[in-house]
Amino acid sequence: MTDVIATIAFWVFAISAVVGALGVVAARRVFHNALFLVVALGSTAAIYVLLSADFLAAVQILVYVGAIVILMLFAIMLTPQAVELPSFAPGGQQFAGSLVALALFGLMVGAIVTGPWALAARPLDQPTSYDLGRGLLTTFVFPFELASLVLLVGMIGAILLARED
Amino acid sequence: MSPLLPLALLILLAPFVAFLLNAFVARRAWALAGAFTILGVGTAFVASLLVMGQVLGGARLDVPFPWLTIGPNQSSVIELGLRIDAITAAMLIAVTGVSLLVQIYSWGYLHETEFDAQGHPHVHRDPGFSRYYCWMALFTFSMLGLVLANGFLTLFIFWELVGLCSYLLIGFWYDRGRTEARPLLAEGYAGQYADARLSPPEAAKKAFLTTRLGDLGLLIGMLLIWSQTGTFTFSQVEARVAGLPVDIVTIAALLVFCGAVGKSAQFPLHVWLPDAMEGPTPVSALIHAATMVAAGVYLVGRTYFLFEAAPVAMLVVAVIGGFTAFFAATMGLVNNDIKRVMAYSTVSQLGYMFLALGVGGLGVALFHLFSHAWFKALLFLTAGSVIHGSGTQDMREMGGLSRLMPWTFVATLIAGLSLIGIPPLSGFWSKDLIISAVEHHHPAFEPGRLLALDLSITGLLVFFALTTVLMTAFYTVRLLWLTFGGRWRGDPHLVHHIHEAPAPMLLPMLILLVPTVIVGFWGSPFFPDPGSNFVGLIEAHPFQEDMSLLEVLATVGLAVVGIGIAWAMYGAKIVDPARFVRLTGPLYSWAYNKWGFDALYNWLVGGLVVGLAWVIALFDQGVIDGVVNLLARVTVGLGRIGRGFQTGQVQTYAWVVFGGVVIVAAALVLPALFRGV
Amino acid sequence: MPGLNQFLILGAVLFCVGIYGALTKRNVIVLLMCLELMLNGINVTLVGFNRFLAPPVGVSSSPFAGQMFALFIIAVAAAEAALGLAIVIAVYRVRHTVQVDEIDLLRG
Repeated sequence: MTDVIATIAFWVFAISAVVGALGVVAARRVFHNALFLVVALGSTAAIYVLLSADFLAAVQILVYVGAIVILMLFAIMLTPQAVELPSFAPGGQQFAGSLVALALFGLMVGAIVTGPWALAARPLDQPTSYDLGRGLLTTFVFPFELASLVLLVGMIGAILLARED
Repeated sequence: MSPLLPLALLILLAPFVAFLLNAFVARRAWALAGAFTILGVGTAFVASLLVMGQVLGGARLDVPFPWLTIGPNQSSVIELGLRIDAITAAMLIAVTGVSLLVQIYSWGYLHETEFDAQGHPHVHRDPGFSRYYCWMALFTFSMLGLVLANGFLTLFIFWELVGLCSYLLIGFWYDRGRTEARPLLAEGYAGQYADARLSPPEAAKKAFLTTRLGDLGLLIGMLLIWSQTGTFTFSQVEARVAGLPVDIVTIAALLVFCGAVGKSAQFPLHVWLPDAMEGPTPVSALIHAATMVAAGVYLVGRTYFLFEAAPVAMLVVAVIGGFTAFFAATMGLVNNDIKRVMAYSTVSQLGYMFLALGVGGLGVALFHLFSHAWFKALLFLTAGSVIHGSGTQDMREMGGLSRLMPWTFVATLIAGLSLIGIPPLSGFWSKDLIISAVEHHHPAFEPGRLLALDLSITGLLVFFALTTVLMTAFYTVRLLWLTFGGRWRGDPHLVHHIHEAPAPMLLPMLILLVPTVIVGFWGSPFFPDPGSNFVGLIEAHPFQEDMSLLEVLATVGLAVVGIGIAWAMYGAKIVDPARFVRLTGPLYSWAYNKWGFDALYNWLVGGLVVGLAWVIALFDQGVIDGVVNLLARVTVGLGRIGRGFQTGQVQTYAWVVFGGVVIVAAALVLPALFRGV
Repeated sequence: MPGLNQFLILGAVLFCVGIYGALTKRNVIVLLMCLELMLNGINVTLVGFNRFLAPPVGVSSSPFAGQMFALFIIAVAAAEAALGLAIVIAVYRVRHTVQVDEIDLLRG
């Protein structure tokens, strides 16, 4: 039973994520792009839940949707365009872009499908917060500290760059 | 050790040291330059007299200096060396003597007196004074080295040096441009123009290039002789000549003669000598009358053993010499420039010398060389005096100078009579010896008979010789009358400034009168022993030319006839020269234009050079420039391609990056994919 | 419950759509959005591996290395988005445009 529900859930959220992604690319107005991004990111959060990454799903919503997209919306509002210009690049560039994208997709699918994945005997399915927290402060303490440094630098840099002078 | 060796070295080194010192003397110390050269040449002259004394006593010198050892087993030795024999001794005296007098003369010649508006004289010295004496010392050194050479290589080295000095001295006034044809300032010659003349550097180049052609022949001949005999030294080659096939010797002799033709301005390489008159007159006197041009005659004399073994070569020498004598005299007849007339006269007399050499008269030819050196040098010095004093070179603008420049007139008169061959002056003896040698000549073969014609080479040569006597007399007297006779025809304002030559110029001229008069006796029948007879000294046997009275009278008679005709046309004005010019018409103008040879050579060489340059330019522009341009275009093209990537747009760069990722991914994935499939 | 491959393909789709958008869209901010999409696709892949693959032998025992990785990616993505937008604002002040193809001063 749970299997069927899981499959349905996967497909629903997978399609909505893809639709959101395509919407980000296809929408004409910038604001719509941002909204589609929210859809995509939210769907991805649901996917995380399916993958037993509960903490990550929460973080995804909080950080990505709640902060980054908000930031982008602010940026959109602060950069109004005088004239409404076409949102897509000229045809040649589209062709080149789609070429690269399709090629890469094909290669990736090929790799995925033929990859000799060493699948686990029993997929992992347990709450993660406790272990994530412990791991952050033991095994991954170094990247943890670095990440905080990165965020600090990013903050300072953003303030400096966006200053008015 | 023979006393000749240190004397020889002294003769060589004294002028050379003078040259070195002059090279470091500044322009301000001009007097030092003159002093060095005069002292150097004077020392050489004294030493030459001593050498002659030794040689008359029988001393000889032939000393080698080994230079390079080459060959597979160190078998060949290239030597330089010095040699003194009778010929050398005589040449040494002629070269150093004339050179010394010319150096003294030049001191005066290079100072010009100019008159300002009030008529006050200002003496103006030529700015190249020290440079002149520097080159003169170098020239004297080179000529003496040439004369003292004991082998082909030594001779060739100095041969080239002499050519260089000639170039330097002809082009002495290097900043003077071409002289354009200007209207004459002469009464009676209205509407006529003085000749256009080359610039001194052009004349120098013409001289150098023309003689170069001859030098090439000499070089090839020299190498041929080396390859056949293994040595350059004259005495050794002479010993080995007998063993060589006649054809080889003939070719070698003719090649050597090429060098002589170039240096001595014989036909067809005669074109440079008249233009060489662009140099200062004392240069013309020394180099182009007495010494350098005589080097060709000297060369043939030195290598006479080659010609004696090759009768065909001797014949060629005689024919070219005779023809040149005749040919040059025709051009001297009509020319109006005093120096050019003398230049043609020099070429003509050199032709006489080669004519003599070609008929077997070695001693006779060298005797004429010796006597000609003195009176021709004197003639040039007097011409220089005339030019210096009257300010013009065109004889039509002169006249009446016999009263204004009496000493010069006397000197020119005597030297001119010597040139014509009036006894008892020196020219008479030497020229008549040549003519009788020609008349008694029995050639080894007669090409005339080969052609089944009744032509006699001897007859042709005699014709050349005798008609040239006539023409020589004519043009000399014409020169005398036009220059010195009558009244001054030139610019009336200049008459007051015409002056006799100053002391430094006058003294050498008067000194030269002495050998002009007496040198002839040295080769005359009055002194038949080889010890005291020039010809005998050279040929090492008693004087034996039989000059019959009839021949002498004929020659002198022809000379007198020539004098008479000239007197009639220019002196007494019985016959009008202008009418003569109209009568001969195209013949006259053709002779005036040097029988078209200058034009022909200019056309030939010019065409050759331009054509060659055109071909090379084609190659240069097409191939070389093409390659270089191609390289440039390829670089630019590559740059343009590279530029295509630098659009400045982020997405282009991103596309490239992802394109690279695709490629890497494909490289990783596809092989695995296809292995699995 | 779909297998690993489905999740991986989903991740690949998100990634490639993100690439296409990054190469084609003209608005810089939209470019950054597509960048986030790409990072998301990667995250999905990582978390998928984390759930389905056997833990690697010999690595320090943490069963959630994949999720940890994804976490850090989110953190870095946040910082990068902030900085990127700050730059966009700064450029906008000078050039008054957010069109990518108009910002081409490095054009050669």
